[in-house]
Amino acid sequence: MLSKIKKSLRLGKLVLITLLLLSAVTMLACTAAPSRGWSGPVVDGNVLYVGTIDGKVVAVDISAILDGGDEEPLQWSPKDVGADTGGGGFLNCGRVSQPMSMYGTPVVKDGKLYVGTYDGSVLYIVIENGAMSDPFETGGAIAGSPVVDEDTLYVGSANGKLYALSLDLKEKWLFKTGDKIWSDPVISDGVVYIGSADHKLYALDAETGKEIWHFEADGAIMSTPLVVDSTVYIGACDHKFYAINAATEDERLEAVARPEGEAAPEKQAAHVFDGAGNWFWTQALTYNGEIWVGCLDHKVYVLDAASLEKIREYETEGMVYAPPVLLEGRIIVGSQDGNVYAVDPEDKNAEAEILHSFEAPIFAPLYPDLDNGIVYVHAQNGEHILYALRVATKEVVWSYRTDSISE
Amino acid sequence: MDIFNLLFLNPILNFLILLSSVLFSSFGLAIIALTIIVRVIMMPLTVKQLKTSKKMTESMNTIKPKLEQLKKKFAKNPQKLQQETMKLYKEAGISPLGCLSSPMILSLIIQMPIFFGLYRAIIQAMAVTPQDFLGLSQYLYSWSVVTEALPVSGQFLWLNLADPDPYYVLPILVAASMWVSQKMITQPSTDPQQQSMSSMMQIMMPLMFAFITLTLPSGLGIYFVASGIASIVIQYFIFGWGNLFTRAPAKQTAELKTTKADKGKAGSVMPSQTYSSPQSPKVSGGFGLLGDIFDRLKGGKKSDTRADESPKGKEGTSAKEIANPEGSKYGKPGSKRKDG
Repeated sequence: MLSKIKKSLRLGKLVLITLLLLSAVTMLACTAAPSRGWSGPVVDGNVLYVGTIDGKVVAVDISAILDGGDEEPLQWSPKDVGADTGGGGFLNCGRVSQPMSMYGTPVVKDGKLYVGTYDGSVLYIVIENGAMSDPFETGGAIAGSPVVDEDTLYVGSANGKLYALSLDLKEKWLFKTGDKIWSDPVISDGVVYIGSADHKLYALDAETGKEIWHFEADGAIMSTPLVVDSTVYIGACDHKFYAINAATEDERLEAVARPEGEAAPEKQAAHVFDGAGNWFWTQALTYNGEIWVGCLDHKVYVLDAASLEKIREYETEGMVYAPPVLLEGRIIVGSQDGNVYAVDPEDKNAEAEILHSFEAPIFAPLYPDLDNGIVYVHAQNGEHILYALRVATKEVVWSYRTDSISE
Repeated sequence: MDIFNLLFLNPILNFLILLSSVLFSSFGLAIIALTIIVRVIMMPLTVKQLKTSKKMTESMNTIKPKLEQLKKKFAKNPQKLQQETMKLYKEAGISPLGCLSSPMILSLIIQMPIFFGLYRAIIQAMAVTPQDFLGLSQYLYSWSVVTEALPVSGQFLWLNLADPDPYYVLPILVAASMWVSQKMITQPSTDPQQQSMSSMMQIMMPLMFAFITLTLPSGLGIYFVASGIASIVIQYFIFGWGNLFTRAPAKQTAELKTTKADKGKAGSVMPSQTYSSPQSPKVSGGFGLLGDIFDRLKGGKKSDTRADESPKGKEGTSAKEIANPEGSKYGKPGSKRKDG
């Protein structure tokens, strides 16, 4: 009897140790974060729209809330998929490309709100009545924002394709890059510029999608280009920031006339800044002959737009993912350290001032509400909260938790 | 955790990405190559473990007659038997903790972070979501070859390394390689109950890993398979096919049943001897640390069985004869065997 008990105990111990070890190994392995989404807000008229981690869109009447009202925001669910933000699989560490969160900032055009979702759909909501379109499925995760230019919507997908769609979501053309697209396209003078993880920045004819040229960096391009006059500025994951001459009309016409299958030329950078300590992830901002760009080395660099020589730099305590914005004559920057900084760009010796500390990393782009002197910040630290920060008074005048929406 | 990253995760992760750059931008090949490299680097430790276990087993064999005498002498006084047994172990330089003795612990402590680092590096490098990729930037050296290799390609053969295998081939390979690796180093037990437990573990572990592989990114499945196959190859070149083709000694069942009463008396004082007999040495199990621990656990049971249950053992028969009651050697006749 005693020996049976002992054997049972031994067996139990064996099974227990088995389970503990398996759990330890698996849990240590499962460090990949689930998709969160970092949709930035956008204001159209008096209404602010923002995507949520739940795959929904929140619409807020800002005139009411800025007057101190407590109106409950409108909520739309573009797709009835619930709030699956986990990884799935064993101990939630399996497939991590499933969740239905929203990374891109919504865009408003002609009374319709266009959104791209992380499950690969593009769709629109009729603002007046909340009616939703059938989705256009790209087949890859959408982590960038859709962009509307005149009667065409452009959106990149993690399947490496850039889509040009009509405003009723019919495909006009698509262009395939060599790797995933996580950034936003920029359209300027009939040319679409898009960065890809295949290390290339492409210039495409906006009408036909034909490649005009490409520029190849030494690392993946995850940031959105900035076009100023005749120069395209873009940072890459090779710690470098580039200035490239924009596509000319002649180059565009040449591309349109080029026979199918003939390779497009490769463009060289006009100037390179290579003094950064980590990747460039965000779009830059231009101000008075200067380029302001955030970097994952915790710094914001101010470069000369003509030569890309460093003029000065500001240091935060976290990575800078969100592009800087200009509001009330000050450059506003959000950082992973949870702080929103403000700098007077005219005062070359000015220190960066902390406007507010949200104690939550800021991934999403800030939205500067020029009319009201408010910067909207979508911060996330477990909870996703949208804040309205009045720059003049450094006061948070309104906040709303976007990931606790009840059906 | 920062120290772990600094010493293990960061170097392994950067080297993994570097390898993928060298190996035709194939992250799958990089995982396989790094797994093999790590196993080769671990070889001295594996050999050290082996020597320690051999030494312990030999010492155990040396004191076995004395132990038997003690058992007879203090059959009615278990407490005294325990004291005398411990004294004997001390004199012979045997740790009563068996696998938990200091060389073993040291070996485990060194191996554990390396395997965890490798495991985590694979997950980290496959950064699927934008924030995974952002997170990756914090672990990388500023080597241009590393930044140029990113993002790593998720495609390998029919697999998307970030997703589970849709055709279930990997889980089958994981289970098969683990089973073969374990079977090669597992001694058939003469106790039916122990044999049953051993067989159950031999089946349970591969099945559990297969189940885990079903839902994990297939990059980790590649690691499991590569690690399993590396173990099989290493074991083959050192010991031949081991017990892969050996069947359990069913003939001994009836004989053993008569000895159960004896086992109850002496079993409680035996140390947790962890390795097989000198002629059945083994290297680390099929899945690195986990495999080692389970193999040792199983080895301990076998040793207990050998020492306590065999009637021949009481008569002073050598451990060699008991472990191979039918005189069978490792594997099939003619199979390779190198005891070095």
